[in-house]
Amino acid sequence: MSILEVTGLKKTYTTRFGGNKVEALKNVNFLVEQGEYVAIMGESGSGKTTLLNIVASLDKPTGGTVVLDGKDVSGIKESAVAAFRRDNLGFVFQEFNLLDTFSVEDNIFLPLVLSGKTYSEMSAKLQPIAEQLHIKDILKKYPYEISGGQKQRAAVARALITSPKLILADEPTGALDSKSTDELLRLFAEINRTGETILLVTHSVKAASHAGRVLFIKDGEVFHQIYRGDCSNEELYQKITHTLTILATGGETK
Amino acid sequence: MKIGFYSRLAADGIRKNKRLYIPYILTCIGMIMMFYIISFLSTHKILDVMKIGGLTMKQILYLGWWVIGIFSVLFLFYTYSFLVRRRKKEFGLYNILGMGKRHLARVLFFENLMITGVSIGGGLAMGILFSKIAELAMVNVLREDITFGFSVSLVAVRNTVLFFLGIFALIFVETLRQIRFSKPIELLGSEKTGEKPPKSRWIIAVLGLLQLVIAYAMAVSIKNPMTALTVFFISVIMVIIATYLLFIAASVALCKVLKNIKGYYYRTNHFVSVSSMAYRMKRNGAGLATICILSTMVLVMISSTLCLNLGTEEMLRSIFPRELMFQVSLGTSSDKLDGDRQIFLDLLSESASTEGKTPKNILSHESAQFAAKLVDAQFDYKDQGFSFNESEEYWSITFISLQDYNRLSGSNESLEPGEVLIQTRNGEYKNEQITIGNAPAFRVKKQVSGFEPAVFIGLATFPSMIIFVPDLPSVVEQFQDDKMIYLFWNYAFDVGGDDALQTRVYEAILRNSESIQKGPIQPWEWFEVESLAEYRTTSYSLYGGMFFLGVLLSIVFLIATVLIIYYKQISEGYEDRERFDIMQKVGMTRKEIKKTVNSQVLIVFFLPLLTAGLHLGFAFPFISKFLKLLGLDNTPFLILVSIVSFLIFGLFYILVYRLTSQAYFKIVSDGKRE
Ligand SMILES: Nc1ncnc2c1ncn2[C@@H]1O[C@H](COP(=O)(O)OP(=O)(O)OP(=O)(O)O)[C@@H](O)[C@H]1O
Ligand SMILES: [Mg+2]
Repeated sequence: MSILEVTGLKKTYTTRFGGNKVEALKNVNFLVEQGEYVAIMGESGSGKTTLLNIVASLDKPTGGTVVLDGKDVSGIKESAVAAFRRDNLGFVFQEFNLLDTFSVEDNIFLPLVLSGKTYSEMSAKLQPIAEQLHIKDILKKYPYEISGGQKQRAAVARALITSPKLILADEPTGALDSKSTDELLRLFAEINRTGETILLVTHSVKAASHAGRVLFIKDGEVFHQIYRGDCSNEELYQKITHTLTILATGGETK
Repeated sequence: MKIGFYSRLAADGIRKNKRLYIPYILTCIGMIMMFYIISFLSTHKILDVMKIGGLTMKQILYLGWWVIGIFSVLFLFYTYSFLVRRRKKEFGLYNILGMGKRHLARVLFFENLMITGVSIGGGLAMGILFSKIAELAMVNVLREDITFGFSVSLVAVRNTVLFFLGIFALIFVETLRQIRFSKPIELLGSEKTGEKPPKSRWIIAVLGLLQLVIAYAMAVSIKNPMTALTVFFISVIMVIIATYLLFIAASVALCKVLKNIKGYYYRTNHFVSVSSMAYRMKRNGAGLATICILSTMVLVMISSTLCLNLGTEEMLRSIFPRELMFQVSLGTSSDKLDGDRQIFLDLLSESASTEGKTPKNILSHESAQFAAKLVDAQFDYKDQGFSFNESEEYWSITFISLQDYNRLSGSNESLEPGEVLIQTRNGEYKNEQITIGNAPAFRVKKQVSGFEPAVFIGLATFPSMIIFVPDLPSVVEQFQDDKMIYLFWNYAFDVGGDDALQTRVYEAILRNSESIQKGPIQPWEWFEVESLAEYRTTSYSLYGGMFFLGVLLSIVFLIATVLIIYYKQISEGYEDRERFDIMQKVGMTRKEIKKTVNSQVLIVFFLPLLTAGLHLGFAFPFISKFLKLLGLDNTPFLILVSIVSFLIFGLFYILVYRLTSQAYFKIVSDGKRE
């Protein structure tokens, strides 16, 4: 069974003063299977963040449905949405979105505290994740005291700690240097191997080349997709570059 | 063209930041209004028309005028600097986009010009409008019965305009200084600085707490408020400093402690509140402390002056058992006869009868009175040097015969020669013996209470003692050598009637006595009158005036408090906006957010109120003793007035909090839409 089913998704933004309408998503359809690692690519402004926000139930679609683990997300009551998100989704934001009032540790604990876990439960959960992400030494520090890469890892830890059904990552490597990027991508791959489902939005071909499948969005629709199959990262990289060139020149791929 | 350009830019700046500027301008208007009103009243002609008390009121108002003036300077300065800090980013942007600092100064000039114009215009208009109400209130408080037409005091207008032009000019210069000495990059970043959560400063926290405890102990342990006025002021200043220290440092430290209690901290309702409180306290601690201090001042002023004003009648009654009190001097000769007494009594009834009254409840006895300094358990009546510091040691001593005591109090005491009964007020006398000068000591047989003397035994401010002796003439004889002591006849009585009637009777007595004294025999040397009516007018002009001033100053402080609260809500709103956005993304429900915001804001806002209540509680013993000195000895009444003041203030506070928190929620939820 698919863990995520997106059908006929539509999102139209109306600007503040009425008038102009921006059709960010026109008709998006795709499925994500349990344990899959999917990358979504597209030009800036193509609606990637919009899509992710709707999947994460941070925003409401104008039309279409998002079914997560058999449940229609739009059918969830407003008051239950946040709790649903907390229990089922892990979100790694384009901006790290760490709270400056909390230490790194407390930032990671936040979703668990919200679901009423005790301290011992929380720290037991944090141990392996902190080890895996190499953030043990910075747990007591505050966000302003750590580097961008460390912040990003802390944000990943916060997304992982609830053991979510689906991890959504919006441009997680955007603010990182190439070394940190590599590290993070290796990490995602590792997480994916342990059975997590990941949906990753990115501009970076390199980032996308780690995924099991790459979706391309253009003009508010899923324009094309590439399966990894038996390809290595390098081969996938080539394929993606090729597709992007075609996308940019506006040619057909079918 | 240039002027038009800059003024347009300035107007734009104000309009775009109306959330910040409108409250500031309203505050300026409020301050100017109050300043005009107090200037207007202190030059009001009623104060010259009033026979008694006009001068007192004038002085009280003048004091208030200074307080409001100084407070306006400090407060407007502080608020405007807050405002400029918020806008530095915008200025930095202009600067980077190529607007020189000189041009920036011009924009600021026009901005300040507009604010000044609107504030002074609006403030004067409001002041003139409300001055009539203030005038009516003042006339009422002074219990005068005069009506005036609507008037505008040009002197007050001129003073107000000049004073506030000065303040605004100063503020403008200071703003220029700030802009001038900062680099554009600093201007851009100035709002973002201080992102670090505060380090707890244990030493400061402990110091603050210690200081508060000491100050409280000092205030509570004061015995005589008159002599310990300095001590009280020191403790007030210590409390103010301690409040700042505590709000800034100790609350952070407390939050640190709470954070370390894992079972407490990691709970949904505490997690967010505790951490953001710790984060916010240092930056906003000063604001909270200011709110707390201002609230305390309002509470102390209102409760004590209201109590004085409401308790004036009771106070008067404690000093004046009767409406008119006569102290008739017999000189050093004690050879006056009972017949002479009759002449005086006749004088009283005759004078009263011209107003159709007869003296009632007559209280009469003989007495001898002097002041003496208590040094080492010995009264020294020769040293008449008076210094305020030592006033505690100055006692008013009144001798009354045991016979008069028994007659007037309906008791049946008897004394051996050398034995006395004593009754004290405002002072404790614990010795068994009373030694006065070189005379042989009296033995205190018993301390009594409840005797109503017909003699004015001195202002309630000083300790006084009535000594009941078996043989009054011989005591007088004893101290006669030094001519320090005279024998008096004392008469106190009621005429029954309003103050004006009492005064007419009193004046009739003076007239009639003059004609007696012009006659062949002088039955007495001279006499003094204490008139309740006269004292009442003085008291009301003093206590009423103080209450009136208390209300005026409270209004000023309240305006300031409201503005500080409002600005706090606004700045916290901007701060929290992103934070709550993130938390919602991480999975906090709207309901949880609302709950957190409520509990957090509630604690943060009610902390100053509660602390103010605590301060009031510890100032209470002092206030109560002070009022007792002034003759108001009614602690339950003071407690009631204080509690009622606190409750009313609390209600007002909640109202302000409710209104301003709407602004907060608006800002926070604005963020979510974006
Ligand atoms: N809140 C909004 N109101 C109006 N229009 C919006 C809003 N958010 C996004 N848009 C518009 O919708 C389109 C898609 O935006 P989106 O943020 O999804 O792009 P993106 O693919 O994430 O871009 P990038 O790669 O630059 O992050 C853009 O044209 C954008 O201008
Ligand atoms: Mg995006």
